[in-house]
Amino acid sequence: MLSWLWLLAIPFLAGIFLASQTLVLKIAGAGGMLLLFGWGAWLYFSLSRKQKQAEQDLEELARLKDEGERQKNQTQELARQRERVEESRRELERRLQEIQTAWESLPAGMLLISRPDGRVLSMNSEAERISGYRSAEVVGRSWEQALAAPQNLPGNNHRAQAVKDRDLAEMEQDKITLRDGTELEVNSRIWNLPGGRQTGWMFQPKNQAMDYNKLREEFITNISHELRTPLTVIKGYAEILYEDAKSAGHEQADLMKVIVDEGDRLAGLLDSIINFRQASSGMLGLRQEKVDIISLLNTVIHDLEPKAAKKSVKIQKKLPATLAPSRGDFNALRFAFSNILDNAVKFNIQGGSVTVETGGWRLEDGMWKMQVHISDTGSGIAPEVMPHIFEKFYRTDQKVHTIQGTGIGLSLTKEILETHGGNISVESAAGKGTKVTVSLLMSE
Amino acid sequence: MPKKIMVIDDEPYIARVIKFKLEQEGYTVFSANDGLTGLEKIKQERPDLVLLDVMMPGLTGYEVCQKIKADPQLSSIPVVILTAKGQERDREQGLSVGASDYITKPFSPNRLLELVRNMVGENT
Repeated sequence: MLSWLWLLAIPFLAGIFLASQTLVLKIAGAGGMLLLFGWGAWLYFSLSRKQKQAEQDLEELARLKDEGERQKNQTQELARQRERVEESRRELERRLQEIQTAWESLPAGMLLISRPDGRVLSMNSEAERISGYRSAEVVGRSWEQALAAPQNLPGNNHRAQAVKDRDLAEMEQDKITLRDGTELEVNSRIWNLPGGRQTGWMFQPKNQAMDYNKLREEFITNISHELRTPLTVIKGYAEILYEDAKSAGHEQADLMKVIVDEGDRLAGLLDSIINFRQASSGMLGLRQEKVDIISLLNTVIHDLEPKAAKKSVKIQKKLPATLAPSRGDFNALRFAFSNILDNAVKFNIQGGSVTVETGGWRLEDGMWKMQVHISDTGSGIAPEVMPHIFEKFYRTDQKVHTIQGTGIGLSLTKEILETHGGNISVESAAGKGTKVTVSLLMSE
Repeated sequence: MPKKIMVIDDEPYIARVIKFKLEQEGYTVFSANDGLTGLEKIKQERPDLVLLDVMMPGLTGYEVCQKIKADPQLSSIPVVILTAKGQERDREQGLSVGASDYITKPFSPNRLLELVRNMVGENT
Protein backbone atom coordinates (compact mmCIF):
# COMPACT_ATOMS: atom_id res chain seq x y z
CA MET A 1 0.00 0.00 0.00
CA LEU A 2 2.79 2.35 1.04
CA SER A 3 4.40 1.85 -2.32
CA TRP A 4 1.63 3.96 -3.77
CA LEU A 5 2.43 6.94 -1.48
CA TRP A 6 4.74 8.29 -4.09
CA LEU A 7 1.62 9.24 -6.13
CA LEU A 8 1.18 12.07 -3.61
CA ALA A 9 4.34 13.53 -5.15
CA ILE A 10 2.54 14.04 -8.51
CA PRO A 11 0.17 16.84 -7.48
CA PHE A 12 3.14 18.40 -5.65
CA LEU A 13 5.30 18.29 -8.79
CA ALA A 14 2.36 19.46 -10.96
CA GLY A 15 1.94 22.40 -8.59
CA ILE A 16 5.59 23.27 -8.97
CA PHE A 17 5.25 23.00 -12.78
CA LEU A 18 2.16 25.22 -12.96
CA ALA A 19 3.02 27.70 -10.27
CA SER A 20 6.72 28.16 -10.98
CA GLN A 21 7.86 31.10 -12.95
CA THR A 22 11.28 29.75 -13.40
CA LEU A 23 11.96 27.57 -16.37
CA VAL A 24 14.40 25.44 -14.52
CA LEU A 25 11.87 24.64 -11.91
CA LYS A 26 9.20 24.02 -14.54
CA ILE A 27 11.51 21.57 -16.33
CA ALA A 28 12.45 19.94 -13.04
CA GLY A 29 8.79 19.65 -12.15
CA ALA A 30 7.84 18.16 -15.53
CA GLY A 31 10.87 15.89 -15.50
CA GLY A 32 10.07 14.76 -12.02
CA MET A 33 6.53 13.97 -13.09
CA LEU A 34 7.75 12.10 -16.14
CA LEU A 35 10.23 10.14 -14.05
CA LEU A 36 7.48 9.34 -11.58
CA PHE A 37 5.08 8.27 -14.33
CA GLY A 38 7.76 6.18 -15.96
CA TRP A 39 8.74 4.55 -12.69
CA GLY A 40 5.10 4.13 -11.81
CA ALA A 41 4.39 2.49 -15.13
CA TRP A 42 7.40 0.21 -14.76
CA LEU A 43 6.37 -0.64 -11.28
CA TYR A 44 2.84 -1.31 -12.44
CA PHE A 45 3.92 -3.57 -15.22
CA SER A 46 6.42 -5.41 -13.18
CA LEU A 47 3.93 -5.90 -10.39
CA SER A 48 1.21 -7.03 -12.66
CA ARG A 49 3.71 -9.44 -14.24
CA LYS A 50 4.62 -10.76 -10.82
CA GLN A 51 0.99 -11.13 -9.97
CA LYS A 52 0.41 -13.06 -13.16
CA GLN A 53 3.35 -15.23 -12.30
CA ALA A 54 1.92 -15.72 -8.84
CA GLU A 55 -1.43 -16.59 -10.28
CA GLN A 56 0.18 -19.02 -12.62
CA ASP A 57 2.09 -20.48 -9.75
CA LEU A 58 -1.11 -20.77 -7.79
CA GLU A 59 -2.79 -22.50 -10.67
CA GLU A 60 0.16 -24.79 -11.03
CA LEU A 61 -0.01 -25.45 -7.37
CA ALA A 62 -3.73 -26.22 -7.54
CA ARG A 63 -3.10 -28.47 -10.50
CA LEU A 64 -0.38 -30.29 -8.64
CA LYS A 65 -2.66 -30.56 -5.69
CA ASP A 66 -5.39 -32.05 -7.85
CA GLU A 67 -2.92 -34.39 -9.41
CA GLY A 68 -1.78 -35.45 -5.95
CA GLU A 69 -5.35 -35.98 -4.87
CA ARG A 70 -6.03 -38.06 -7.95
CA GLN A 71 -2.95 -40.16 -7.37
CA LYS A 72 -3.92 -40.62 -3.77
CA ASN A 73 -7.37 -41.77 -4.84
CA GLN A 74 -5.82 -44.11 -7.35
CA THR A 75 -3.60 -45.58 -4.68
CA GLN A 76 -6.54 -46.05 -2.39
CA GLU A 77 -8.54 -47.64 -5.17
CA LEU A 78 -5.63 -49.94 -5.87
CA ALA A 79 -5.40 -50.87 -2.23
CA ARG A 80 -9.13 -51.54 -2.16
CA GLN A 81 -8.87 -53.69 -5.22
CA ARG A 82 -5.94 -55.54 -3.75
CA GLU A 83 -7.99 -56.10 -0.63
CA ARG A 84 -10.85 -57.45 -2.71
CA VAL A 85 -8.52 -59.76 -4.60
CA GLU A 86 -7.04 -60.94 -1.34
CA GLU A 87 -10.48 -61.55 0.01
CA SER A 88 -11.57 -63.59 -2.95
CA ARG A 89 -8.32 -65.50 -2.77
CA ARG A 90 -9.01 -66.33 0.85
CA GLU A 91 -12.59 -67.30 -0.02
CA LEU A 92 -11.29 -69.48 -2.81
CA GLU A 93 -8.81 -71.10 -0.46
CA ARG A 94 -11.53 -71.72 2.07
CA ARG A 95 -13.78 -73.29 -0.58
CA LEU A 96 -10.90 -75.36 -1.84
CA GLN A 97 -10.21 -76.49 1.70
CA GLU A 98 -13.86 -77.44 2.06
CA ILE A 99 -13.82 -79.40 -1.17
CA GLN A 100 -10.55 -81.03 -0.15
CA THR A 101 -12.02 -82.02 3.21
CA ALA A 102 -15.18 -83.36 1.58
CA TRP A 103 -13.13 -85.24 -1.00
CA GLU A 104 -10.86 -86.78 1.60
CA SER A 105 -13.61 -87.66 4.03
CA LEU A 106 -15.94 -89.03 1.38
CA PRO A 107 -17.19 -92.36 2.72
CA ALA A 108 -16.48 -93.90 -0.65
CA GLY A 109 -13.39 -94.41 -2.72
CA MET A 110 -13.19 -91.86 -5.50
CA LEU A 111 -10.92 -91.39 -8.46
CA LEU A 112 -10.85 -88.46 -10.84
CA ILE A 113 -9.90 -89.48 -14.33
CA SER A 114 -8.76 -87.38 -17.25
CA ARG A 115 -11.19 -87.94 -20.06
CA PRO A 116 -9.21 -88.21 -23.26
CA ASP A 117 -6.35 -90.42 -22.09
CA GLY A 118 -7.94 -92.19 -19.12
CA ARG A 119 -5.16 -91.33 -16.70
CA VAL A 120 -5.93 -91.04 -13.01
CA LEU A 121 -5.71 -87.41 -11.89
CA SER A 122 -6.32 -87.93 -8.21
CA MET A 123 -7.49 -90.43 -5.68
CA ASN A 124 -9.00 -89.83 -2.28
CA SER A 125 -8.02 -91.27 1.11
CA GLU A 126 -10.89 -93.72 1.20
CA ALA A 127 -9.81 -95.14 -2.15
CA GLU A 128 -6.30 -95.49 -0.69
CA ARG A 129 -7.70 -97.19 2.37
CA ILE A 130 -9.88 -99.61 0.40
CA SER A 131 -7.31 -100.50 -2.23
CA GLY A 132 -4.16 -100.41 -0.13
CA TYR A 133 -2.47 -98.31 -2.82
CA ARG A 134 -1.02 -94.91 -2.11
CA SER A 135 -2.22 -92.08 -4.28
CA ALA A 136 1.22 -91.61 -5.81
CA GLU A 137 1.23 -95.21 -7.07
CA VAL A 138 -1.98 -94.78 -8.99
CA VAL A 139 -2.02 -91.16 -10.18
CA GLY A 140 -0.81 -90.96 -13.75
CA ARG A 141 -1.60 -94.58 -14.53
CA SER A 142 -4.40 -95.67 -16.79
CA TRP A 143 -7.53 -96.19 -14.73
CA GLU A 144 -8.31 -99.39 -16.57
CA GLN A 145 -5.16 -100.91 -15.13
CA ALA A 146 -5.17 -99.20 -11.77
CA LEU A 147 -7.49 -101.24 -9.52
CA ALA A 148 -8.43 -103.30 -12.56
CA ALA A 149 -11.23 -105.77 -12.34
CA PRO A 150 -9.58 -109.21 -12.53
CA GLN A 151 -11.44 -110.29 -15.64
CA ASN A 152 -10.75 -107.08 -17.50
CA LEU A 153 -8.85 -107.24 -20.71
CA PRO A 154 -7.31 -104.06 -22.09
CA GLY A 155 -9.46 -102.58 -24.82
CA ASN A 156 -12.47 -104.54 -23.71
CA ASN A 157 -13.26 -102.71 -20.57
CA HIS A 158 -16.71 -102.35 -19.21
CA ARG A 159 -15.73 -99.27 -17.26
CA ALA A 160 -14.59 -97.48 -20.37
CA GLN A 161 -17.72 -98.74 -22.05
CA ALA A 162 -19.80 -97.32 -19.24
CA VAL A 163 -18.26 -93.92 -19.84
CA LYS A 164 -18.76 -94.11 -23.57
CA ASP A 165 -22.32 -95.28 -23.44
CA ARG A 166 -23.89 -92.78 -21.15
CA ASP A 167 -23.23 -89.72 -19.11
CA LEU A 168 -24.37 -91.22 -15.86
CA ALA A 169 -23.69 -94.79 -14.94
CA GLU A 170 -25.99 -96.48 -12.49
CA MET A 171 -24.73 -98.21 -9.38
CA GLU A 172 -23.31 -101.46 -10.55
CA GLN A 173 -21.34 -104.38 -9.34
CA ASP A 174 -17.69 -104.26 -10.08
CA LYS A 175 -14.61 -105.97 -8.83
CA ILE A 176 -11.33 -104.31 -8.09
CA THR A 177 -7.93 -105.78 -7.42
CA LEU A 178 -6.36 -104.59 -4.23
CA ARG A 179 -2.67 -103.92 -3.74
CA ASP A 180 -2.19 -107.32 -2.09
CA GLY A 181 -3.70 -108.98 -5.16
CA THR A 182 -7.04 -109.95 -3.61
CA GLU A 183 -10.28 -109.19 -5.33
CA LEU A 184 -12.92 -107.05 -3.76
CA GLU A 185 -16.52 -106.74 -4.82
CA VAL A 186 -17.65 -103.16 -4.89
CA ASN A 187 -20.66 -101.10 -5.77
CA SER A 188 -19.37 -98.76 -8.37
CA ARG A 189 -20.58 -95.60 -10.06
CA ILE A 190 -18.99 -93.93 -13.03
CA TRP A 191 -20.04 -90.60 -14.43
CA ASN A 192 -18.81 -87.82 -16.63
CA LEU A 193 -18.14 -84.48 -15.05
CA PRO A 194 -19.72 -81.38 -16.60
CA GLY A 195 -17.47 -80.10 -19.34
CA GLY A 196 -16.78 -83.60 -20.49
CA ARG A 197 -13.06 -83.50 -19.77
CA GLN A 198 -13.08 -85.59 -16.64
CA THR A 199 -14.69 -88.75 -15.37
CA GLY A 200 -15.54 -89.52 -11.78
CA TRP A 201 -15.44 -93.04 -10.42
CA MET A 202 -16.81 -93.77 -7.01
CA PHE A 203 -16.82 -97.19 -5.38
CA GLN A 204 -17.66 -98.75 -2.06
CA PRO A 205 -17.01 -102.25 -0.78
CA LYS A 206 -20.12 -104.33 -0.38
CA ASN A 207 -20.01 -103.91 3.35
CA GLN A 208 -23.54 -104.97 3.89
CA ALA A 209 -22.82 -108.51 2.87
CA MET A 210 -19.92 -108.62 5.30
CA ASP A 211 -22.09 -107.35 8.12
CA TYR A 212 -24.69 -109.97 7.31
CA ASN A 213 -22.05 -112.65 7.58
CA LYS A 214 -20.97 -111.37 10.96
CA LEU A 215 -24.58 -111.18 12.06
CA ARG A 216 -25.15 -114.73 10.93
CA GLU A 217 -22.08 -115.99 12.78
CA GLU A 218 -23.28 -114.39 16.00
CA PHE A 219 -26.82 -115.54 15.43
CA ILE A 220 -25.81 -119.13 14.88
CA THR A 221 -23.50 -119.15 17.88
CA ASN A 222 -26.21 -117.71 20.10
CA ILE A 223 -29.02 -119.86 18.82
CA SER A 224 -26.98 -123.02 19.13
CA HIS A 225 -26.16 -122.16 22.73
CA GLU A 226 -29.74 -121.28 23.53
CA LEU A 227 -30.96 -124.53 22.00
CA ARG A 228 -28.35 -126.77 23.52
CA THR A 229 -29.25 -125.92 27.08
CA PRO A 230 -32.90 -127.06 27.01
CA LEU A 231 -31.94 -129.91 24.75
CA THR A 232 -29.41 -131.16 27.28
CA VAL A 233 -32.12 -131.20 29.94
CA ILE A 234 -34.72 -132.90 27.74
CA LYS A 235 -32.30 -135.47 26.44
CA GLY A 236 -30.87 -136.11 29.88
CA TYR A 237 -34.20 -136.77 31.57
CA ALA A 238 -35.60 -138.68 28.60
CA GLU A 239 -32.62 -141.02 28.69
CA ILE A 240 -32.92 -141.58 32.43
CA LEU A 241 -36.68 -142.20 32.16
CA TYR A 242 -36.20 -144.50 29.18
CA GLU A 243 -33.70 -146.65 31.03
CA ASP A 244 -35.94 -146.84 34.10
CA ALA A 245 -38.98 -147.74 32.00
CA LYS A 246 -37.00 -150.32 30.06
CA SER A 247 -35.57 -152.05 33.11
CA ALA A 248 -39.02 -152.07 34.72
CA GLY A 249 -40.50 -153.52 31.52
CA HIS A 250 -42.93 -150.64 31.04
CA GLU A 251 -44.67 -150.12 27.70
CA GLN A 252 -43.74 -146.44 27.79
CA ALA A 253 -40.11 -147.38 27.13
CA ASP A 254 -40.81 -147.27 23.37
CA LEU A 255 -42.30 -143.79 23.63
CA MET A 256 -39.39 -142.59 25.73
CA LYS A 257 -37.01 -144.00 23.11
CA VAL A 258 -38.68 -141.77 20.49
CA ILE A 259 -37.95 -138.69 22.64
CA VAL A 260 -34.34 -139.79 23.10
CA ASP A 261 -33.91 -140.39 19.34
CA GLU A 262 -35.56 -137.13 18.37
CA GLY A 263 -33.37 -135.33 20.89
CA ASP A 264 -30.37 -136.92 19.21
CA ARG A 265 -31.65 -135.80 15.85
CA LEU A 266 -32.07 -132.27 17.06
CA ALA A 267 -28.57 -132.39 18.53
CA GLY A 268 -27.30 -133.67 15.20
CA LEU A 269 -29.01 -130.81 13.43
CA LEU A 270 -27.42 -128.34 15.79
CA ASP A 271 -24.06 -129.91 15.14
CA SER A 272 -24.71 -129.57 11.42
CA ILE A 273 -25.43 -125.90 11.83
CA ILE A 274 -22.26 -125.41 13.83
CA ASN A 275 -20.34 -127.51 11.33
CA PHE A 276 -21.90 -125.58 8.53
CA ARG A 277 -20.90 -122.31 10.10
CA GLN A 278 -17.37 -123.60 10.39
CA ALA A 279 -17.62 -124.92 6.86
CA SER A 280 -18.67 -121.59 5.45
CA SER A 281 -15.84 -119.82 7.21
CA GLY A 282 -13.23 -122.37 6.39
CA MET A 283 -14.80 -125.21 4.41
CA LEU A 284 -14.00 -127.53 7.29
CA GLY A 285 -16.20 -129.76 9.33
CA LEU A 286 -18.58 -130.92 6.61
CA ARG A 287 -18.23 -134.63 6.20
CA GLN A 288 -17.53 -136.24 2.88
CA GLU A 289 -19.61 -139.39 2.87
CA LYS A 290 -21.69 -141.36 0.42
CA VAL A 291 -25.21 -139.97 0.52
CA ASP A 292 -28.10 -141.92 -0.95
CA ILE A 293 -30.30 -139.07 -2.14
CA ILE A 294 -33.34 -141.34 -2.57
CA SER A 295 -33.26 -142.60 0.99
CA LEU A 296 -32.48 -139.08 2.19
CA LEU A 297 -35.55 -137.72 0.39
CA ASN A 298 -37.68 -140.56 1.72
CA THR A 299 -36.54 -139.80 5.27
CA VAL A 300 -37.20 -136.10 4.89
CA ILE A 301 -40.67 -136.74 3.42
CA HIS A 302 -41.44 -139.27 6.14
CA ASP A 303 -40.50 -136.74 8.83
CA LEU A 304 -42.67 -134.12 7.24
CA GLU A 305 -45.77 -136.25 6.70
CA PRO A 306 -47.45 -135.54 10.08
CA LYS A 307 -47.12 -131.81 9.44
CA ALA A 308 -48.45 -132.18 5.89
CA ALA A 309 -51.34 -134.32 7.09
CA LYS A 310 -52.41 -131.59 9.50
CA LYS A 311 -52.83 -129.29 6.52
CA SER A 312 -54.22 -132.09 4.31
CA VAL A 313 -51.28 -131.55 1.98
CA LYS A 314 -50.45 -134.62 -0.05
CA ILE A 315 -46.79 -135.34 -0.76
CA GLN A 316 -46.36 -137.13 -4.06
CA LYS A 317 -43.12 -138.97 -4.66
CA LYS A 318 -41.86 -139.58 -8.17
CA LEU A 319 -38.59 -141.18 -7.19
CA PRO A 320 -36.74 -144.14 -8.63
CA ALA A 321 -36.14 -147.08 -6.28
CA THR A 322 -32.37 -146.68 -6.32
CA LEU A 323 -29.81 -144.24 -7.58
CA ALA A 324 -26.05 -143.97 -7.42
CA PRO A 325 -25.12 -142.04 -4.27
CA SER A 326 -24.00 -138.44 -4.12
CA ARG A 327 -21.14 -137.38 -1.91
CA GLY A 328 -21.32 -134.91 0.92
CA ASP A 329 -22.54 -134.36 4.43
CA PHE A 330 -25.73 -136.31 5.15
CA ASN A 331 -26.90 -134.01 7.95
CA ALA A 332 -26.24 -130.85 5.99
CA LEU A 333 -28.04 -132.15 2.89
CA ARG A 334 -30.87 -133.39 5.04
CA PHE A 335 -31.14 -129.93 6.54
CA ALA A 336 -31.23 -128.42 3.03
CA PHE A 337 -33.96 -130.71 1.70
CA SER A 338 -35.95 -130.52 4.95
CA ASN A 339 -35.98 -126.79 4.56
CA ILE A 340 -37.18 -126.78 0.97
CA LEU A 341 -39.87 -129.36 1.63
CA ASP A 342 -40.88 -127.68 4.86
CA ASN A 343 -41.45 -124.44 2.94
CA ALA A 344 -43.44 -126.32 0.30
CA VAL A 345 -45.80 -127.55 3.02
CA LYS A 346 -45.73 -124.39 5.12
CA PHE A 347 -46.66 -122.08 2.25
CA ASN A 348 -49.10 -124.49 0.66
CA ILE A 349 -52.86 -124.17 0.63
CA GLN A 350 -55.11 -126.37 2.73
CA GLY A 351 -55.55 -129.63 0.79
CA GLY A 352 -52.78 -128.79 -1.68
CA SER A 353 -50.00 -131.03 -2.87
CA VAL A 354 -46.24 -131.21 -3.01
CA THR A 355 -44.44 -133.17 -5.70
CA VAL A 356 -40.91 -134.45 -5.26
CA GLU A 357 -39.26 -135.66 -8.43
CA THR A 358 -35.75 -136.57 -9.48
CA GLY A 359 -34.06 -136.79 -12.80
CA GLY A 360 -31.36 -139.46 -12.83
CA TRP A 361 -27.65 -138.73 -12.94
CA ARG A 362 -26.78 -137.10 -16.22
CA LEU A 363 -23.45 -136.16 -17.68
CA GLU A 364 -23.36 -132.38 -18.12
CA ASP A 365 -20.21 -130.47 -19.06
CA GLY A 366 -18.14 -133.48 -18.09
CA MET A 367 -19.71 -133.77 -14.64
CA TRP A 368 -22.38 -136.05 -13.29
CA LYS A 369 -25.32 -133.98 -12.16
CA MET A 370 -28.79 -134.66 -10.88
CA GLN A 371 -31.77 -132.44 -10.49
CA VAL A 372 -34.39 -132.72 -7.78
CA HIS A 373 -37.63 -130.81 -8.36
CA ILE A 374 -39.91 -129.88 -5.49
CA SER A 375 -43.11 -128.20 -6.60
CA ASP A 376 -46.05 -127.06 -4.55
CA THR A 377 -49.55 -125.71 -5.11
CA GLY A 378 -49.11 -122.83 -2.70
CA SER A 379 -49.66 -119.13 -3.09
CA GLY A 380 -46.37 -118.65 -4.91
CA ILE A 381 -43.74 -116.02 -4.33
CA ALA A 382 -44.51 -112.40 -5.17
CA PRO A 383 -42.15 -110.91 -7.78
CA GLU A 384 -40.97 -108.22 -5.37
CA VAL A 385 -40.05 -110.84 -2.78
CA MET A 386 -38.30 -113.19 -5.22
CA PRO A 387 -34.91 -111.39 -5.31
CA HIS A 388 -34.66 -111.54 -1.51
CA ILE A 389 -35.57 -115.13 -0.72
CA PHE A 390 -31.97 -116.23 -0.32
CA GLU A 391 -31.03 -113.26 1.85
CA LYS A 392 -30.17 -113.88 5.46
CA PHE A 393 -32.88 -113.05 7.96
CA TYR A 394 -35.25 -111.95 5.23
CA ARG A 395 -38.86 -112.65 6.10
CA THR A 396 -41.79 -111.79 3.91
CA ASP A 397 -44.41 -109.44 5.32
CA GLN A 398 -45.54 -110.77 8.66
CA LYS A 399 -49.13 -109.87 7.81
CA VAL A 400 -49.19 -112.21 4.85
CA HIS A 401 -48.44 -115.22 6.97
CA THR A 402 -47.70 -115.74 10.60
CA ILE A 403 -45.32 -118.60 10.22
CA GLN A 404 -42.44 -118.97 12.60
CA GLY A 405 -38.95 -119.21 11.31
CA THR A 406 -35.47 -117.89 11.80
CA GLY A 407 -34.99 -116.40 8.36
CA ILE A 408 -31.78 -118.33 7.85
CA GLY A 409 -33.29 -121.48 6.35
CA LEU A 410 -33.08 -120.72 2.67
CA SER A 411 -29.82 -118.84 2.76
CA LEU A 412 -28.27 -121.71 4.70
CA THR A 413 -29.82 -124.19 2.26
CA LYS A 414 -28.32 -122.34 -0.67
CA GLU A 415 -24.93 -122.21 0.97
CA ILE A 416 -25.02 -125.89 1.87
CA LEU A 417 -25.90 -126.83 -1.71
CA GLU A 418 -23.27 -124.54 -3.15
CA THR A 419 -20.68 -125.92 -0.75
CA HIS A 420 -21.58 -129.32 -2.18
CA GLY A 421 -20.95 -128.00 -5.69
CA GLY A 422 -24.64 -127.86 -6.46
CA ASN A 423 -27.11 -125.05 -6.67
CA ILE A 424 -30.72 -124.11 -6.14
CA SER A 425 -33.13 -122.20 -8.37
CA VAL A 426 -36.70 -121.11 -7.80
CA GLU A 427 -39.49 -120.51 -10.29
CA SER A 428 -42.72 -119.08 -9.07
CA ALA A 429 -45.78 -117.15 -10.09
CA ALA A 430 -48.14 -115.67 -7.54
CA GLY A 431 -51.11 -118.02 -7.16
CA LYS A 432 -49.54 -120.74 -9.26
CA GLY A 433 -47.23 -122.34 -6.77
CA THR A 434 -43.49 -122.61 -6.56
CA LYS A 435 -41.04 -124.98 -8.15
CA VAL A 436 -37.65 -125.39 -6.56
CA THR A 437 -34.95 -127.12 -8.54
CA VAL A 438 -31.90 -128.42 -6.77
CA SER A 439 -28.93 -129.43 -8.78
CA LEU A 440 -26.49 -131.85 -7.17
CA LEU A 441 -23.06 -132.93 -8.17
CA MET A 442 -21.78 -136.46 -7.99
CA SER A 443 -18.18 -136.21 -6.92
CA GLU A 444 -15.63 -138.94 -6.70
CA MET B 1 -17.53 -143.54 51.68
CA PRO B 2 -19.27 -142.29 48.47
CA LYS B 3 -17.31 -140.04 46.14
CA LYS B 4 -18.30 -136.39 46.15
CA ILE B 5 -19.05 -134.57 42.92
CA MET B 6 -19.58 -130.83 42.61
CA VAL B 7 -21.74 -129.52 39.71
CA ILE B 8 -21.62 -125.80 38.85
CA ASP B 9 -24.06 -124.72 36.14
CA ASP B 10 -26.22 -121.59 35.93
CA GLU B 11 -29.00 -123.69 34.39
CA PRO B 12 -30.67 -125.33 37.41
CA TYR B 13 -32.25 -128.11 35.34
CA ILE B 14 -28.92 -129.16 33.91
CA ALA B 15 -27.44 -129.27 37.42
CA ARG B 16 -30.47 -131.31 38.50
CA VAL B 17 -30.32 -133.85 35.69
CA ILE B 18 -26.63 -134.45 36.39
CA LYS B 19 -27.31 -134.68 40.14
CA PHE B 20 -30.15 -137.14 39.52
CA LYS B 21 -28.10 -139.43 37.32
CA LEU B 22 -25.01 -139.44 39.52
CA GLU B 23 -27.00 -139.90 42.74
CA GLN B 24 -28.71 -142.88 41.11
CA GLU B 25 -25.25 -144.34 40.77
CA GLY B 26 -24.42 -143.69 44.42
CA TYR B 27 -22.35 -140.55 44.20
CA THR B 28 -22.86 -137.65 46.59
CA VAL B 29 -23.60 -134.60 44.49
CA PHE B 30 -23.48 -130.92 45.47
CA SER B 31 -24.59 -128.25 43.08
CA ALA B 32 -24.33 -124.50 42.68
CA ASN B 33 -25.78 -122.13 40.10
CA ASP B 34 -22.96 -119.62 40.01
CA GLY B 35 -19.19 -119.58 40.25
CA LEU B 36 -18.79 -117.83 43.60
CA THR B 37 -21.23 -120.06 45.48
CA GLY B 38 -19.62 -123.03 43.78
CA LEU B 39 -16.15 -122.04 44.97
CA GLU B 40 -17.42 -121.66 48.55
CA LYS B 41 -18.98 -125.13 48.45
CA ILE B 42 -15.81 -126.61 46.98
CA LYS B 43 -13.84 -125.20 49.92
CA GLN B 44 -16.35 -126.67 52.40
CA GLU B 45 -16.94 -130.06 50.85
CA ARG B 46 -13.60 -130.84 49.15
CA PRO B 47 -15.22 -132.85 46.31
CA ASP B 48 -13.42 -135.53 44.32
CA LEU B 49 -14.45 -133.96 41.00
CA VAL B 50 -15.87 -130.66 39.73
CA LEU B 51 -18.20 -130.50 36.72
CA LEU B 52 -18.09 -126.91 35.53
CA ASP B 53 -20.19 -124.98 32.99
CA VAL B 54 -18.33 -122.40 30.89
CA MET B 55 -20.83 -119.69 30.03
CA MET B 56 -22.12 -118.39 33.32
CA PRO B 57 -22.97 -114.87 34.44
CA GLY B 58 -20.51 -113.45 36.97
CA LEU B 59 -17.50 -115.72 37.17
CA THR B 60 -17.09 -117.76 34.01
CA GLY B 61 -16.17 -121.41 34.17
CA TYR B 62 -12.62 -120.58 33.11
CA GLU B 63 -12.24 -118.13 35.97
CA VAL B 64 -13.61 -120.64 38.48
CA CYS B 65 -11.21 -123.26 37.15
CA GLN B 66 -8.29 -120.85 37.41
CA LYS B 67 -9.18 -120.08 41.05
CA ILE B 68 -9.41 -123.77 41.91
CA LYS B 69 -6.05 -124.43 40.30
CA ALA B 70 -4.47 -121.40 42.02
CA ASP B 71 -5.51 -122.58 45.50
CA PRO B 72 -2.89 -125.07 46.77
CA GLN B 73 -5.52 -126.86 48.88
CA LEU B 74 -7.89 -127.34 45.94
CA SER B 75 -5.54 -127.59 42.99
CA SER B 76 -5.48 -131.39 43.03
CA ILE B 77 -9.25 -131.66 42.41
CA PRO B 78 -9.87 -132.60 38.78
CA VAL B 79 -12.17 -130.31 36.78
CA VAL B 80 -14.34 -131.29 33.79
CA ILE B 81 -15.60 -128.46 31.61
CA LEU B 82 -19.19 -128.57 30.32
CA THR B 83 -19.21 -126.60 27.08
CA ALA B 84 -22.24 -125.64 25.07
CA LYS B 85 -20.56 -124.11 22.11
CA GLY B 86 -19.02 -127.19 20.63
CA GLN B 87 -16.00 -125.24 19.61
CA GLU B 88 -12.40 -126.26 19.65
CA ARG B 89 -11.58 -122.93 21.23
CA ASP B 90 -13.62 -123.75 24.36
CA ARG B 91 -11.91 -127.04 24.84
CA GLU B 92 -8.43 -125.58 24.37
CA GLN B 93 -9.12 -122.68 26.68
CA GLY B 94 -10.54 -125.06 29.29
CA LEU B 95 -7.51 -127.32 29.11
CA SER B 96 -5.17 -124.33 29.21
CA VAL B 97 -6.59 -123.19 32.57
CA GLY B 98 -6.06 -126.63 34.07
CA ALA B 99 -9.22 -128.61 33.27
CA SER B 100 -8.66 -132.35 32.93
CA ASP B 101 -11.37 -133.04 30.37
CA TYR B 102 -14.45 -131.61 28.72
CA ILE B 103 -17.90 -132.77 27.62
CA THR B 104 -20.05 -131.07 25.00
CA LYS B 105 -23.71 -130.21 25.59
CA PRO B 106 -26.11 -131.78 24.87
CA PHE B 107 -24.48 -134.82 26.45
CA SER B 108 -25.95 -138.18 27.26
CA PRO B 109 -26.15 -138.91 31.02
CA ASN B 110 -24.57 -142.30 30.34
CA ARG B 111 -21.66 -140.69 28.56
CA LEU B 112 -21.22 -138.32 31.52
CA LEU B 113 -21.38 -141.22 33.97
CA GLU B 114 -18.69 -143.00 32.00
CA LEU B 115 -16.49 -139.92 32.17
CA VAL B 116 -17.05 -139.52 35.92
CA ARG B 117 -16.19 -143.17 36.50
CA ASN B 118 -12.99 -142.73 34.55
CA MET B 119 -12.02 -139.71 36.60
CA VAL B 120 -12.84 -140.80 40.17
CA GLY B 121 -13.57 -144.53 39.96
CA GLU B 122 -16.74 -146.42 40.71
CA ASN B 123 -18.56 -146.26 44.01
CA THR B 124 -18.50 -149.62 45.71
